[in-house]
Amino acid sequence: MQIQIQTQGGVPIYLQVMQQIKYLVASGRLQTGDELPSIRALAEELIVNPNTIARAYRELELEGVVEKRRTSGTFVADSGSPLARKERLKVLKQRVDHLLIETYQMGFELDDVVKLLQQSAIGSKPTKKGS
Amino acid sequence: MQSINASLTWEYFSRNRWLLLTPLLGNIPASFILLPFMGLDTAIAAKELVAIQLILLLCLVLLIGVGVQATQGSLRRFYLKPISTLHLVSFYYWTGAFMVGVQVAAMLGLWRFLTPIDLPIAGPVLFSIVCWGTFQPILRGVLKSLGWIPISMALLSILDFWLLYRYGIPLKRGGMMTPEIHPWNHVSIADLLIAAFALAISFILTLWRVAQDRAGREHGKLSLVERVDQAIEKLQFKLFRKTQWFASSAHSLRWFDFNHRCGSIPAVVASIIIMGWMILGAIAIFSKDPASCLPVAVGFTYLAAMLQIFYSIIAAIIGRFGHSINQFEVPERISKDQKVTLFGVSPYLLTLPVSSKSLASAMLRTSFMTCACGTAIVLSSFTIVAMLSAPIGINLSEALTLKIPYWKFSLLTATISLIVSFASSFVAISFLPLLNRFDLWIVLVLVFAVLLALKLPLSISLWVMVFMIVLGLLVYTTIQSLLNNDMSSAKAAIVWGIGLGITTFTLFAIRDQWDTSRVLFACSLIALAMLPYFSTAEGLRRARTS
Amino acid sequence: MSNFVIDIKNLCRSFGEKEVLHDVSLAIPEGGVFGLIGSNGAGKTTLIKHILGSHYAQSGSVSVFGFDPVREPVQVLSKIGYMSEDRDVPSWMRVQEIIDFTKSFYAKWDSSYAEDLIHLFELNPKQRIRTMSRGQAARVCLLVALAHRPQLLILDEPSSGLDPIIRRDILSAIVRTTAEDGRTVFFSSHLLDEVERLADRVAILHQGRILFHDTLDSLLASFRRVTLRFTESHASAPDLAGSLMCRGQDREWTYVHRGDREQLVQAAENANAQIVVEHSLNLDDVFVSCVH
Repeated sequence: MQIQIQTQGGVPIYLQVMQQIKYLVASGRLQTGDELPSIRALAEELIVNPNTIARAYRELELEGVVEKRRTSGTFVADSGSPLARKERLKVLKQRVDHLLIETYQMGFELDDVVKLLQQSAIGSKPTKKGS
Repeated sequence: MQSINASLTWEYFSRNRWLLLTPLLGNIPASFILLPFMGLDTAIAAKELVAIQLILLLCLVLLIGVGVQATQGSLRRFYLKPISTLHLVSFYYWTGAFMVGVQVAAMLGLWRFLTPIDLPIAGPVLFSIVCWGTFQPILRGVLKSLGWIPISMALLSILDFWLLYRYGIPLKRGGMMTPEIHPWNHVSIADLLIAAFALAISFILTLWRVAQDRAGREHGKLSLVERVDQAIEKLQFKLFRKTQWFASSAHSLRWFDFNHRCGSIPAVVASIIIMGWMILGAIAIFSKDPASCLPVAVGFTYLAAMLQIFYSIIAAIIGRFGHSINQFEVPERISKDQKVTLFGVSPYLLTLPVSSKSLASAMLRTSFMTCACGTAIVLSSFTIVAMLSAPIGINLSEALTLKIPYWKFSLLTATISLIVSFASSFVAISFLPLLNRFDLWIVLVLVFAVLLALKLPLSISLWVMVFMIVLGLLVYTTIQSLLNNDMSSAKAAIVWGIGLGITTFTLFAIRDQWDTSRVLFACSLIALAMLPYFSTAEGLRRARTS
Repeated sequence: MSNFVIDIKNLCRSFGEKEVLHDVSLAIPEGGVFGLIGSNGAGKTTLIKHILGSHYAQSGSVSVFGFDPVREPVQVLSKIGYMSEDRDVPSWMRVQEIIDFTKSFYAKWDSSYAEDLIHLFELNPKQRIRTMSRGQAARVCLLVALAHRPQLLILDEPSSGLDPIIRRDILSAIVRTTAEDGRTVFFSSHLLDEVERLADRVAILHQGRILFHDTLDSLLASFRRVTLRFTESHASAPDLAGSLMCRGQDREWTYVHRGDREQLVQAAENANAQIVVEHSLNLDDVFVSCVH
């Protein structure tokens, strides 16, 4: 699983893991029903304390992004649920916030951004995934 | 900005501090030879005491030369600095020569002052400076091949020849008492020329050697020793079995101790004896009187036995103080937590779940086995000589001018070798730490005072004191080990029993040559050999935790 | 006694005049990774030597698995796997020899695990340790410490002087060890990104004193870097309760704050300032600000 951890930014590691998993789910690279690596395997791969991964998985479960099944695995939850959608929206909102900050810093207005979005949307055709 | 020379001088003095005095202080024991002459009123011509002078002078030159060399340290620490080789070598060569000369002159002057012997100064000082210079090319280069051994021997012979010649000792028989001998009172022009020549040549050679070393030219080629080592290593690699099998932790400890600490003792003894026999065999084939070679065999066997003792002592001392010898090399290389190998015990062992008791018993057993091995080899060699001499009809006791029968001599040599080498290999663990106890020193002083009060002769008092120290330590450690449960009562009884048995046997064997000093000496040695059994475990326990 | 693997109480240690440890108390529970942080010369190795029984406690007490390591070295050391800072192994031995040798001391030695580690670390069993590079020798040390599956794994500066590849080996070994229940890892390091990745609990040792001893999360949660914008310009940094470091000029000043966030908000209000930017800190910054 393509997750990178860095200790420089001041963001707690469990949070980084959570954010990246959420992004993977939101962007469709992790689909509903896909199994996440076991806590121990991911901990060994990233070289972090297993408790950190365990915490990340716990929090993701609370937010409904993943679910634990009795066959002792962790799987991506159904993305159709409103909770999951809300989470994905949160990820998107972060991107939007960043975009807006940059826009104002560079001296542009909201209309400029909207125009840019419309122009780019004509060029690319995103594949439709579940709503 | 101060000059380079000023910096080098400062470095020399700050780096060494107290060590600068050691060569001078080290000569004090040698000075004891002169004790009888101190305070005598009549002047003694140095002519009478040429032999003593020569010994003293040689010791003096050796100690001071080694001392100055050691304080200067290796030149390697300057190789990467922007200083030319010429400058570097000149500084250390000539300042070294100066220091040697000054210290020798000072010591000779002191001796001249304290005793009525008018020792010559100029000649010996010149000699010492030439000795210093002569050995610089050897010591300042890379000593990889074994060629330096014969070269050193040759140089030593030449220098000794010069010295003896200047003392007027001719090479023919007659030795010390011929009328031509005279102390080296006058430094002749010939002397100065020889000295100048020798110093110039050796200076140039030193320059060359250091330049080679600095450029790293020496390191490319493999010397003979390294080639042999490599060949052995390759062979071992091929023959290496997949796994060792250790029956128990005690077994593995013994294997470790043998490999790490004392495995070389029987090897050294065996190689000397085997080489000796081979050389002897070769000589016997070519000589007209092969039977006369047999006493030589006794000679080198005896040498091997004594060497076992010497080797154990050296190994124990290096084990205890080895890390500080490195200081003379490049102190900068020694990090703060440089591991001291405690008496030859690798500190790695102390991180393993090993009790001090099991470590002690492993060490005792290994030491005993290796010393016994060496002794067995020595005894076999003695026996072979006896067996060879019987059919030929040589009476070995007569041939060797011994006062005791040959068998007694060989048995005594072997026993002394065994006991003393065993005792010495533990002297650093079992004996030396005990000397740190102040209560012991108080008892010592009291005993000495009592003995002096009783007006016993000096030597006997000394021996009584030594014996009492060792016996006292033995009793103390026996009680301590019984209390600590390091030793079972049965084992302690066995050790004491064997010790007393050997003592009785020895005393019985030398009953013809009874002498209080000798008796005390023998008893002290045996007690010293018993001591490790009781004191090693506790010594290790203390050493483990600081 | 509760299940503290290491219980150190009021330990003091001096070497001559120099006081190396002062009133150090640490209680390390079973399971998990404990990181001891400190700069060079802070006293970490000395503390570890007390745990191993190489130093006796001049004052205070040390208890490992409930035993005094000085009085009962065998009991304590048989449960410990130790990798020293200078990787002190007898260099004259071969890899296979040191494995066989060490095996005889530990009842719980796992030979198949040792074999796996040999393959994993790419070691040649017949090679002599003194002919190996530093990294390879470190791997041998690690192997010998791990193969008997110790209850307590002690690593003293495991990564110092080693290349990134061997560092990964060591760190993954730590992860693997903690994943097995009930086993504890104690490692000291001045490489803080490693400690941040791996430790559950940390303690900061500075000049012989323990500055903090807490879970890593609590420690990091109590620090933050804030930039405050004041209503007036100040020539020098205005005081802020709970701040450890600050810099800035005129109206904007950046502080490293330790404590409750509510306290910070209150203090900012009292000082007529507005919080402009707020960051959490990583362990490196926390350490620097504590020790500064």
